Amino acid sequence: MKRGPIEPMPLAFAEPREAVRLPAVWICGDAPAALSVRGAWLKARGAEPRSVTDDPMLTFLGPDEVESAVLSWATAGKRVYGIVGPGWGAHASHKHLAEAPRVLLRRVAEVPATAAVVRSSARIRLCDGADLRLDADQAAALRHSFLRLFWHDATEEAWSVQRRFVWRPAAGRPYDVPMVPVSALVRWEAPDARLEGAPVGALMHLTAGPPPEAAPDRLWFPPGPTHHETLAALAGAGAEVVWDDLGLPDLRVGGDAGEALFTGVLGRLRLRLNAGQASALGELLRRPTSWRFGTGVRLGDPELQGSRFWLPGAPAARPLEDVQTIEVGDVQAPALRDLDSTRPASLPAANPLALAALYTWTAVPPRLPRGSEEAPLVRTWRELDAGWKARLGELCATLAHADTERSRIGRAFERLLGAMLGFERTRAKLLERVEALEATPPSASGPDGAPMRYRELDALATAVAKLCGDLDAAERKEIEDREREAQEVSWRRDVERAASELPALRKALRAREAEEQQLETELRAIKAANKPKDAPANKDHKVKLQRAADDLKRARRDVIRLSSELDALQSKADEVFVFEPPQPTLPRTSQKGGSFIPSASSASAAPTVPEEALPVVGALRVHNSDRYLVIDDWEQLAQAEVEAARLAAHLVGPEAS
Amino acid sequence: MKTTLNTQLPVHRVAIFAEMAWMERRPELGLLCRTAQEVGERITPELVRRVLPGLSEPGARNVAAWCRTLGLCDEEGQLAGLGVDAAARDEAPVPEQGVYDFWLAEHPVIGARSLAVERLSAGSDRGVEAPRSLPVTPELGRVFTSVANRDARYVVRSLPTKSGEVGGVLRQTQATCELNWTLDFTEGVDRWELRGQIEVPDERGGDKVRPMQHEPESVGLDLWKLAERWGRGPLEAHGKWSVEERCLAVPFAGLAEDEVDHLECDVALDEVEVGAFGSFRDVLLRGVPIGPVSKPEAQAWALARLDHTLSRDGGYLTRSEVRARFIDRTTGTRLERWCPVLPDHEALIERVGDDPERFWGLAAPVDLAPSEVARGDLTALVLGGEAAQPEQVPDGQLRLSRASAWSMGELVERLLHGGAPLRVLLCDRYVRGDHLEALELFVAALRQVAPDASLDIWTDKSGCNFRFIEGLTGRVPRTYAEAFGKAALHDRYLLVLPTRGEPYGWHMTNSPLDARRDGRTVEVNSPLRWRDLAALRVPAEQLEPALRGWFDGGTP
Repeated sequence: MKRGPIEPMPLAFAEPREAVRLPAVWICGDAPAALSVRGAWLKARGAEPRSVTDDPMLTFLGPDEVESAVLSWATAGKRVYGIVGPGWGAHASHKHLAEAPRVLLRRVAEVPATAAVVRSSARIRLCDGADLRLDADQAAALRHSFLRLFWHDATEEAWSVQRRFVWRPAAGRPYDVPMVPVSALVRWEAPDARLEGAPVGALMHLTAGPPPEAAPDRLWFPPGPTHHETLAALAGAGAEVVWDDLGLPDLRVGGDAGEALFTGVLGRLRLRLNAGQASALGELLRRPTSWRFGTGVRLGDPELQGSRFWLPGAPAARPLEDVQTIEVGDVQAPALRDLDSTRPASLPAANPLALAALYTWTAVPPRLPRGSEEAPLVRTWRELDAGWKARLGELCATLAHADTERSRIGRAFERLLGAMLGFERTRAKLLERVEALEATPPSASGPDGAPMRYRELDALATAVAKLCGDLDAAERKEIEDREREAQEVSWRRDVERAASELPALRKALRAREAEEQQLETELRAIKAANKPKDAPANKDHKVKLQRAADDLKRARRDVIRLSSELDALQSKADEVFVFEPPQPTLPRTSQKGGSFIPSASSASAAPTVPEEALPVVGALRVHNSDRYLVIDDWEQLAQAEVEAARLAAHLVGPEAS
Repeated sequence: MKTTLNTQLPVHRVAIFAEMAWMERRPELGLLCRTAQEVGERITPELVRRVLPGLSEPGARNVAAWCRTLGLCDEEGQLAGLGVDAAARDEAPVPEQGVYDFWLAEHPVIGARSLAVERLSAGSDRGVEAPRSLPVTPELGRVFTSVANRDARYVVRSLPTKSGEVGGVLRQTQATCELNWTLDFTEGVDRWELRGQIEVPDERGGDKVRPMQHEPESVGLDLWKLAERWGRGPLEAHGKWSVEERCLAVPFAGLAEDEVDHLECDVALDEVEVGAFGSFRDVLLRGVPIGPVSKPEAQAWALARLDHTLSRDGGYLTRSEVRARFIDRTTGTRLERWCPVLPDHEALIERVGDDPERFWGLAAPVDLAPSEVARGDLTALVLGGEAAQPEQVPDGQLRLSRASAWSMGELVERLLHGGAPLRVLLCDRYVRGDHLEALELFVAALRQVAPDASLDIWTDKSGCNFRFIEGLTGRVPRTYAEAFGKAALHDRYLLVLPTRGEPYGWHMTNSPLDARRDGRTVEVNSPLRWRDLAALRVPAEQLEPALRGWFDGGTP
């Protein structure tokens, strides 16, 4: 059994390939001997022209070194007419040519061959190491092409001024040069011109373009990544396909005829070969080569060791490779348990040139996809546990408050000390029940045990509420008893004081009533007396009358006041004791949430319990509606498989970091 | 050759009592004089009655007598100079008498001439009673035109005098006069003119000065005789005057390029004499014809002219073009009689070896010719001698030279190979000017061989009379721009679409129309004078694409 954290696992597989066969391939072996030039038609490059006349030389000057034959002709003071391409003049030999007195150059867009014509003698450069001598007819045709290019296509011209070519726009031509006929032995043709003769039975040398459609005896064709199928077909048809880069133009040699087609971007020079030239070039094309094209080549063939092979589509030729290590990369395991047996669905092709292939890969365990979320089941259970814990917290708080109240009541009412001890024992038992419920949350009880736990919680809440109620009732009763006693003491004191004040008050009333009667009399007397005539007497009369009226009015008010006070005092003395319950005290606000008594509603709420229990191992998450059970260690694998099956979840490793 | 002789003439202003006649418009007298010119140069009473019908005979006699009085005719009625003048201008002299202010000048060329006359008012004749002799006495009876007022023409009829000696009162004058006498030897005319200033009356009764107005006049000199006299006189110091060639033979050395090219020079002479007209100083004789003094000098001269031409033209020139230029620059000049020689090709390019542009301009066209240049063309060309007969040329080639005397018919027959073509195209940049006459011959020659063959002409539009060509060929010519765009061809081509066989073309170094007639009349079979022309027969595939397209009917 695997142990430790769940991580990717490196794996490997080795495949032997020595028996593999390559259907078509270029093979590069040993380099051939250096090119040797001999015979009447092929000449070493730079050989002196045979003509000893003063005839002018017509020459196509390539971008590289000027032929020594041209230089010697020019430095001898003979006239040399040259056609050059853009950029000509960079080579040191070009400056030597400027020192000659009689050289006229005209610049054209492209010079696709290097050649020289002196009257009926001409030669053209075949490659770096060889020139081809032309016969008189070919020389005439080459001259015709030269003239057409020189007079019709030149854009600039130059002659030497103070040993330097000074270029100027080409002056207009003095005449028209007829167009070169299609049948001419030498002719400029379009850049897409191809060799014309039939390949069958011929030797062909091609530098570009597609291979011929028919199979020549021997085909020189540049190795490369393309045309392998065609070349294989030609090889199958009997053609020997070979190559060496001799710098030759396109050639076709068959029997006593042939043609050369020089490379050019803007145009190509076609040269039709005579029998001698065809023979000489045929010999050249039969020489051994370093490249050959093979079909059905066995990789393990001992003769091929050390060779280079150019495969179809490959950028270059490469040697054989003993062992090719191929890193396949990560391979996803279908399940955690299948990780060590995981293989790539398909193995990549090995290097066709590899004698053995070693495939390596990394088996990647199933992983939690990125962007997953916690499963709703887990959330539901967590919310239930949270609610559970909250309710237990509320009960703990209530019990703590009840204990505080109990202490306060005990200190306030000494007569209740005994009862308070009983309340303390009840609270302690309730606290023990709270702690017991805290240890078993609903998620731990599962769908089956959770409802019972909730019933226990409800019962506990009820008991806590009762404890608080009992405390409250005991305190209220004690307060009322105390109030009654106080009211009786006050009533008795008031009755006794009223009874003691009644006699004095009656006596004062009677005195004042008498005084009232006397004043009434006096007033009547004054009114009855005649009203004096003289003014001062009249005035005194009026004063006496007014004073008597005022005294009577004051006496009557006092009688009324004293009568009222006497009635009130009498009522007080006759009053019966009646207990008035005290006004209810304001709600206590010290407890958070109002009354410290738990509300009935919270106790009676019945939460919905999920039908599934949480997994025993791993974390349950969802992604795109799929459940994933995530485990970190191989040790969890067995139990996790059971849980994943129960929960219909994919069993995966942790999300890749 | 031309020169202008100048001399200052003194002007005298003199008040003279004179009988004058002012030329006034008299159409009836002009008609009478013109009629007299037609019927015998005489004015008679009969002629007067014929011209003026209804006039009585005495009246006619009076008119005739009046004509005699006016000087229109003499006593016999013969028309006089004034009558001829009246016939030409419808003006007749109206006599009057008085004191006049005369401006007078005298020279053998102009005679005793009254330059201008003004009537003097009454009271201004003081002094006339005590006259002084006249410095110049104006010619009597001659019609003068005033140089102060070109419309004023008059005749001094007489200068009446009591003492028998004509006199007048000399007056101050600001007038000046210069005689300008132009002798144009080449044109054979002499013209003299008076220039200067003269007083005219102003509005306040005074004088003001204004330029003279004088119509040039001529004395009718024989100028080449004068040149001959000068050749023996003042020109002798500059060269030898040739009466036959009317030129001055001068040494070649020291001549300026312009003098070499134009065969003329300017000669400054201290003094010349013009017969009875006196002598003149500081004379500049311009454009004196000059020529060589010897054959070697003529040879050097001819080559120098060729060099100048080649330098000016620049570029590449074929040997034929060089020969043509040498011939053009020599033939018909005073060099030709010395038979100058165009050196052979190699010698010629060696002459210009120090000048690369000219060297290659001559050497390359020969070295790089599409077909070998005829050996005869490369040899020396002697002008004035016998022209070399054309060399034998192989089949498929034609060669014409100045020695060839082919008719146009012969050329066309050879070009057509004796066959009757369906269509022919002449592609020639210059079908204009003198070539149009040759084109008429060409068309006629073609019609002789193939009456139904159509002839197309492709040519440059510049200076070309397309309507004329269309009238000749019946087909609208095509312009070079249409046919070739900017890649115009250099040479001339004649394309032939035969009724049988392969189409072909002639590639020609010169135009087949560059031929001149020898005599006054020219026909198809008349021999012509040719310039060098080499033609090469080429198959259609060797022709430019634009030309090949013509065979396919891709042209109008």
